[in-house]
Amino acid sequence: MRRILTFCVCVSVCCIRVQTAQAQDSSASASHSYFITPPPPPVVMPPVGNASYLITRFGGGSGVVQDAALSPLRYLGPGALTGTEYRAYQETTFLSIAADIQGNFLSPSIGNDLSPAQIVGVQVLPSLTLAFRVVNEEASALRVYAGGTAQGITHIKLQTAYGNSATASDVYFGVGAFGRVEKDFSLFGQAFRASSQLSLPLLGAANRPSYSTTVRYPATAISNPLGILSEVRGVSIAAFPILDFRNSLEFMLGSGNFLALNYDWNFYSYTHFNKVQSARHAISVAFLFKF
Amino acid sequence: MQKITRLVAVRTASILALMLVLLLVSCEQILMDAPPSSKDNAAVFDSMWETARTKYTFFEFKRIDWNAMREKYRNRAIQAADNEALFNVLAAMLNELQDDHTNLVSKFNLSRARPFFNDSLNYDSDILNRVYLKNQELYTGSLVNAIVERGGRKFGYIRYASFLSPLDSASWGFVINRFRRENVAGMILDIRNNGGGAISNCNFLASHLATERCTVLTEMTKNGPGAKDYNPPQSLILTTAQPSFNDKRVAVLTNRNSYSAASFFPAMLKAPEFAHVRLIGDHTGGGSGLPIDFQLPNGWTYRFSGTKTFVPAGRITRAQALAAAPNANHDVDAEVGYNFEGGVPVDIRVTMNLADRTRDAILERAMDYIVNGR
Repeated sequence: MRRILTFCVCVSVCCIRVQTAQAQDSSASASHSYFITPPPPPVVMPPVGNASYLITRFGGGSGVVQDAALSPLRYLGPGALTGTEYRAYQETTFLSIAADIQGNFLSPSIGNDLSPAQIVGVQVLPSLTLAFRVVNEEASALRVYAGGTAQGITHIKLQTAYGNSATASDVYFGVGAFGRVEKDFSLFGQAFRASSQLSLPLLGAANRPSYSTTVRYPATAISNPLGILSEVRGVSIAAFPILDFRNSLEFMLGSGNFLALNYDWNFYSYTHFNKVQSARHAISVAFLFKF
Repeated sequence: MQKITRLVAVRTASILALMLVLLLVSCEQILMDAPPSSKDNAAVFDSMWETARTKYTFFEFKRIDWNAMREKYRNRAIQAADNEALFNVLAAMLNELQDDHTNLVSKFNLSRARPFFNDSLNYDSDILNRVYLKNQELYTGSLVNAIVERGGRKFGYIRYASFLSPLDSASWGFVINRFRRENVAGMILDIRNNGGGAISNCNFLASHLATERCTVLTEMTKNGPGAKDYNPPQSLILTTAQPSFNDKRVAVLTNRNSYSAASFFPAMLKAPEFAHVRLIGDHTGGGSGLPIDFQLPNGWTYRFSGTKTFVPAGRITRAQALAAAPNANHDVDAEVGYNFEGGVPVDIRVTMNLADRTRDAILERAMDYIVNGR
């Protein structure tokens, strides 16, 4: 727990430092008059207030899974993702409704020459976030939002091995804290917006539907048709730490639309008989359509 | 100005790139536990022993002291000089479970328990083909079928060699129509030496033989690491299907090599809705636990039973249970039913004399049952 909190604080401080450095650099360059020719006209970033975006993104990434229900080995490998988001800025609020889906094809860290098994994992991450602007430094175009988020994770893993294949899945729904830092700046005469956000669910419910990884009996009908072998548990961040860290560099196109390069990382760890740990990296390109 | 702008850009990009690289390679390294070493024999052994301790389902039923197995095999595993020696130690420990759903798989070997290896085969394909089928059988999908004649009567014979082979309504319908057309006295369904496969194929066959919708089996699944951690028993219910064959007698032939799905199917037939069906031959080989797969830190895979399945209580007598599995602890889960891990007891037990190349005693006894009802 302490490791996780330390990690979060370090990451957040790093992000803010980078953005502050950029701000200082911009103002420093503006205060010196080295120009021989007149400077290009300043690029005007549209005001963030009262703008709504529909965001679609595509990309690739990687995944790491260590799921003791399937294997003691660590699995890692490449993946692909897509996602969509509705994002609305009001004067002082930030609203986001988003869902990502990422599929990973993972191989054991000891190599396929020693292990024939692989894991195909699909992770779905819906979220609903509402945050309020708590810092608005107009001079440096820096904004900080803080608020709450409701997040879900559904992670289905299929391990292919000799004989039967084994499946395991995790389902989580939680509510928690959300922080986002945004900064507008110009570079090469173009308008950019950088942002970092961190979601930290604090309380939730987790469900690991099956203790064993047995394929359920496919009877014509069974007395409990859903085969409920699951157990929903209330969990706190101590029992189910989740970190969701997202960074974006947005380049303004015409008409207030943006093209963005994103980097996301999330991690979760859960112990319910078996320890399950999973991390995901993703780099994606997104189109932000203003409407 | 351009120079300064470029410097700022380069510095910003460098910081961002550095952050990105650090995040990409190391975030989870800080947070995730290190996996056990693949080269440590003790870690490999402990992984298997502990997983079986918490997930295997028949320790009590088979009276196995798993802690004693750790004492017996751990040092041998640690001292194993190479992979082959380690494999042999781990396979020997798994084979103590006497469970044919148990295998250890490496690139160079596959272990198997074969608990009934020394039992009589009670099946000879050569006798069957030469004396009864005479190369006249039809291969209809997965169903090898023939009309066998004796004493002026015709018997519909089906050989289903593996529950891995898919069954379909068209093939089944063709065979049943053929038997109806030939006016057979009854059906002989031969699943001897059938090593199992998909349980859905058990449903298929049983649903075409049942007279009514019925509860056929009861299943319990492990839901925690404790010895008593199971979900409440779940009844498995079967519905009927057409074209059915439930108006004439049916003999199902089994032997000790009728395993897994080839034991699930005979276990289903103990329901009262199969009053026209008799199991004839030797008790089945059992296999009432559906296997689950795991992996060891060195990459080898292994599996063992992770559920247990029962013939609902009241359908198997204690004498029948002891006949099929004399060493098992039948008091475990007795209120749920009969655990057929040690085999499904047959209704009419027949042992073949393989030296007699002129007759299949089990098949002959099946024809007797169809004619006499006994």
